[in-house]
Amino acid sequence: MIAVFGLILGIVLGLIFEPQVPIGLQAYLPIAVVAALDAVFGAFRAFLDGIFDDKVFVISFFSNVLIAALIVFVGDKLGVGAQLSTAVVVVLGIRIFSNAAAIRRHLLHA
Amino acid sequence: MDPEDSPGEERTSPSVRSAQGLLERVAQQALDEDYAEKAIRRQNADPEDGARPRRGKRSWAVGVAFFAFALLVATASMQRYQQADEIAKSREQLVTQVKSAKSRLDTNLATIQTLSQENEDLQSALLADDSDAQELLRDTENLKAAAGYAPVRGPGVKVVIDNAPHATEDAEKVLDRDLQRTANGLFEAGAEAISINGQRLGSLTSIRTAGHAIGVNYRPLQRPYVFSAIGDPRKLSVRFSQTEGGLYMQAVKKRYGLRFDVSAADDLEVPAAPMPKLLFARAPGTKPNGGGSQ
Repeated sequence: MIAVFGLILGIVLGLIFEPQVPIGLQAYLPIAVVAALDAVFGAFRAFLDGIFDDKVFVISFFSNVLIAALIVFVGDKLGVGAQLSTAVVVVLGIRIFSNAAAIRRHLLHA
Repeated sequence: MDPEDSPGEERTSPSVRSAQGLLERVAQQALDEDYAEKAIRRQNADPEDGARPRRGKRSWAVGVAFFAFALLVATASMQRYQQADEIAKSREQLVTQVKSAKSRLDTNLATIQTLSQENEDLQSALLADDSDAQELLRDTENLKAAAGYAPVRGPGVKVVIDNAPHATEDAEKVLDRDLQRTANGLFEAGAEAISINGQRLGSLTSIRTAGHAIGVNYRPLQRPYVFSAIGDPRKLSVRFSQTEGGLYMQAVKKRYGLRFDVSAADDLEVPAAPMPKLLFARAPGTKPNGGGSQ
């Protein structure tokens, strides 16, 4: 319940206030979104598996986002930012896909 | 961890196999292992409670995480939306700027033309009584016409060059090379004045690709390219077909289907080329032009 409330509140606040992201951080926003999506899909799958744990989710969510942004940041400093963000997106994309497949199996039994 | 070496996989190189193994591993470990570990630990500690998730103040943390997630997504999408807006806006601004600059350029060019025409009229009116001066003026006019800085008219040939119909490859389109060779061929065949789409070839004219268009006298041309060459129409077309440029264009027409038509014309008008401002070059025995110090 609280999760749903947080979700709605976040969307509403984001749309109303349109927070401005500092230009230096704008490059990391899409990567952070992908990392967050990965954590959320993982949490949903764990919930359906019956092994959801709030502590694990919260930690994995924030650490996912931070580490993804950090990897891209370090890559930018080393001059391989584009390649590293591709790597992050590929790995997280595969994870999201297989988690989504597991969720689909749970929900549709197919 | 590594994929098993089955006979069917012998042809793949070790690096390909390890890459496949890596991707498989990513897919297999899509779920954080912590969830499973925590569940096992919980079951060991309290077999009754088992896999049932506990509720408590930590669900607030979950709420906060979801709030952060939603905020992140909303912010990212709003940002993309605004960026797309800004890009479209700045593009539009650039287009209007280019358009206004172009129209300014056109009016300025027209002003220059009328002013220099006026200048010439005034000059000839001023010197109307002086027969020496009259002769000098006529000489100047003839020299200007020969050099390409006075409009001329007379019989000649028209050469039309255009892309092949439905051209896709670069080879099927007109290149600056084609126009250069055609111009050289026409001069070789005895043309006395040449213009391409109304741009006279003067002593400082270049024919070259600039961006997506071919530019002559620094003005971009639009297809089709029409050469007006003044000279003896019959001799010009016969000789031109034997020059290197003419033969080259025939070959290009045959091979790539470019349009290349040569036709005689009784009365062609060739305008003047824009007069260049010479800053360093000067005729022997004259003072420096001084045009550059302004």
